Amino acid sequence: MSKTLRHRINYLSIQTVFGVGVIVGLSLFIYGTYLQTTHENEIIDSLKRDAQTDSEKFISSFLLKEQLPAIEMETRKIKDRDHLNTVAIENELSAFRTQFKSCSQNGTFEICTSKQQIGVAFPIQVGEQRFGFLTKIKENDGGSIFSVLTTRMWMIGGVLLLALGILVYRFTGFTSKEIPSSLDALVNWLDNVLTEQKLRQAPVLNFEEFNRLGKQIATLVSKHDEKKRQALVGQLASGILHDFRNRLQPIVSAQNLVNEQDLGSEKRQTRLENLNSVLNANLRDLVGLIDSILDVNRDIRPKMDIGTSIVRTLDLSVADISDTADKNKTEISFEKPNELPTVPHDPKLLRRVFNNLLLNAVEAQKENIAASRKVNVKVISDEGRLRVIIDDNGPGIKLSEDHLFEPFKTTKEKGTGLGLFNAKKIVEAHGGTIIAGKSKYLRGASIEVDLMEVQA
Amino acid sequence: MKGFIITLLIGQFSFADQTVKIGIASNFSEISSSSSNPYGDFFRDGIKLALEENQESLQKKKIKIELQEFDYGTSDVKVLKTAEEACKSQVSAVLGYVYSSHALLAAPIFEKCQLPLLTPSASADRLSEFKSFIHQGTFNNSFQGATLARVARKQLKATSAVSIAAADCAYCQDLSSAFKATFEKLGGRVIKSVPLLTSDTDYTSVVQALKDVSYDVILVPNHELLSARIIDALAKAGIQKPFLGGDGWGNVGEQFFQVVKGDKIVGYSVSHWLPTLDSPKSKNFVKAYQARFKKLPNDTAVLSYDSMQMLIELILKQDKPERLAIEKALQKPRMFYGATGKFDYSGDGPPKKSLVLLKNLGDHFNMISLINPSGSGN
Repeated sequence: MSKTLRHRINYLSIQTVFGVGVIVGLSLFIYGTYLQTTHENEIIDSLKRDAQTDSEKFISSFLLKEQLPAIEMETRKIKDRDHLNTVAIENELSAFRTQFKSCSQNGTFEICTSKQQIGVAFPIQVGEQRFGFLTKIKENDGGSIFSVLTTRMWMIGGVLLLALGILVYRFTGFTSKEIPSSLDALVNWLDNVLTEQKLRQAPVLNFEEFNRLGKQIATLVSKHDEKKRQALVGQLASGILHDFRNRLQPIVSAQNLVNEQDLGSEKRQTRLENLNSVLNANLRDLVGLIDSILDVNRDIRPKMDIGTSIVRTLDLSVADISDTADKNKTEISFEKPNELPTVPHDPKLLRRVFNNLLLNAVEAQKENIAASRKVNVKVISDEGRLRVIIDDNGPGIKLSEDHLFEPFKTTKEKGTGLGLFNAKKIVEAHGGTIIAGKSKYLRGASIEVDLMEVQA
Repeated sequence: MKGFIITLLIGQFSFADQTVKIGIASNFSEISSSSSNPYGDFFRDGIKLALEENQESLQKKKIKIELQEFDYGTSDVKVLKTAEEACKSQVSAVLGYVYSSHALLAAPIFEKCQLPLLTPSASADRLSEFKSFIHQGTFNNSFQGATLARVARKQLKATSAVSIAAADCAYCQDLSSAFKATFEKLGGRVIKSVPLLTSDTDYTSVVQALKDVSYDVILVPNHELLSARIIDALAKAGIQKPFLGGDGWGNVGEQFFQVVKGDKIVGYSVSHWLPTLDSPKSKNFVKAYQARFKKLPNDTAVLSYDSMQMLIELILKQDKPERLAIEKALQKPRMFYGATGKFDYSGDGPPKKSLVLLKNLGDHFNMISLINPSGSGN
């Protein structure tokens, strides 16, 4: 079972704190032992330091009875001088050794240690003649130093560990909240980019790594968009050429049929008339197609006509599409206003716009059952603005509004992607606006063209 | 400790038949904390002067005396080691071991190896317990102690005394015991003995010990510097009782008076001799010493001079001045007349000879009287 980030960090943190604790504890123990040993060695060195000189002081006292009382005075003086527990002259060392845990020989010295005290014995002798041993015993405070130091260090170590634990806890809280929230923000942004098909700037996050990630994603998306656009351009180019071929192919076929017949023959005449019909049917479309392509780059200069009613233009447009609507079993209804407003416009240009919008509405419902294929055209006069609303029962608009009116943006399998772009250009050239959205009356899309009326 | 050979080529040795090696043992190299310094130099100078004065006599007898030094510094261990070295050496006799403790340490070794030791200044009573090979060139502590006790009882009218003697000093303990014996015999009482060590420098405990005690005199039977420091500390603590000391205080007392400078004290001591002694031998010695060494001699110098003179006199009487011959000569009863006076070796033990009773006056010691061995004096 996978763990959350918080769990994982907490687990790692506990391991870290525990591991640090073990290391600190071990280090303290080793250091404390080192200190204790060092201190004990210092005590031993101090006991050994003056041992030879001190022992020689006793020699004349052993040899000269006049100086015997000096032995006790000398031992007392050495004891006070060196802050010792005991200084004594011993004949032999068995009693001395019993006071300690262990004894060892170190040159002429015998060194004995226990937890409580450290002792050193040095022979008092001249040549082969031994008078006894000078023994010095000092308190072994290395253990207490060890315990005091280690206690202090444990306390310091404990405080440090506690501080570390708090820091780690804060850190885990910080990372387990900040990281997921930053990731969430990044994912949400990406989702919006993909949904809207529009590359927005990546959000500024708390972690530089995520900011870099966002930029990298944005770059990838742009590259993808570019590739997609190129593919789309390719697709559109092939769409355009396909349309051209569709229009030219019947002409070529009709011409071939003419050429098959002898000159002056009756069949040839019949076929010539057929060729004429085909030309009539397709050349106009070809011209219209070429105009659409040329419109992408050229300025639209509408020839405004006050005399032609907008409703009239709409009627003509509906009539233009009626064949296609019939073929697609799509019902087109037209709600006209009671009063016919006067809208200066270029009938030819707007007729193309409305043709395009109606054709899109019809073609959007190809997947619908026949009974539900409806297109509604409504004209509303509203405070000096004329609104032409074309609704359909289709699936709605898939592209965002920003992309919808861009050139070569199409959701059709075979489309130029220029229809809405040109429609927007023409409408805007008339001083109007065109917007797309969801229909309030039907289930699909709604395109609204807003034009300015002339007040009578 | 290594001895080194000083060869004195005096006069014409080309026809010397006999070379007699004499060992001289002292502290020639280290500074003592309790005695005057550098007593090794005074010791050596006295011997050299005696040797130089006898060169003619020695030449006549075709004897060349070579001196071999044994330096024991301030270490008792070295005292023992130099004694062993002397025994193993070619010396026919040893002159030295200036202090009583040194002589007492070395004596058993010399006795054992049958090497005659003549100590010019060691005064420990126990030295006379060695029946052979150990000889003293001066009086003993009993004589000194008794003299001081008489001074305390008879002159100072003291009935009680305290003694401040270094426990690690055989001379000091011995002199203190000798004083006590006679003082108590004369009706006095040593009411307190305050021991200390020669290495002590803080005498607060000594002052404290005397604080609530009533006494008439204070015996300070230690060597020069230690005695001076004790007296200085007591004087500064307000103690104004008379102080008594032995020959350890010295007779010139240059370093003694440096320490007690400014202290108002009354001090009586005994010594072997003063440079101002009115005797021809003494005057000649002082004159010759000053001319030779450009300084006034002290008691160490005069005693070593007298001892060397005595030894040379004995050597000159020998056909073969070897160890046993010298020992035999030293054991004979005899009289010797030195710069410090008459040495009466008619009986056992140390020579009977006079001592001088001194009292401090300003920055020097002044002779009060000369005390003869019988105890009488002038």
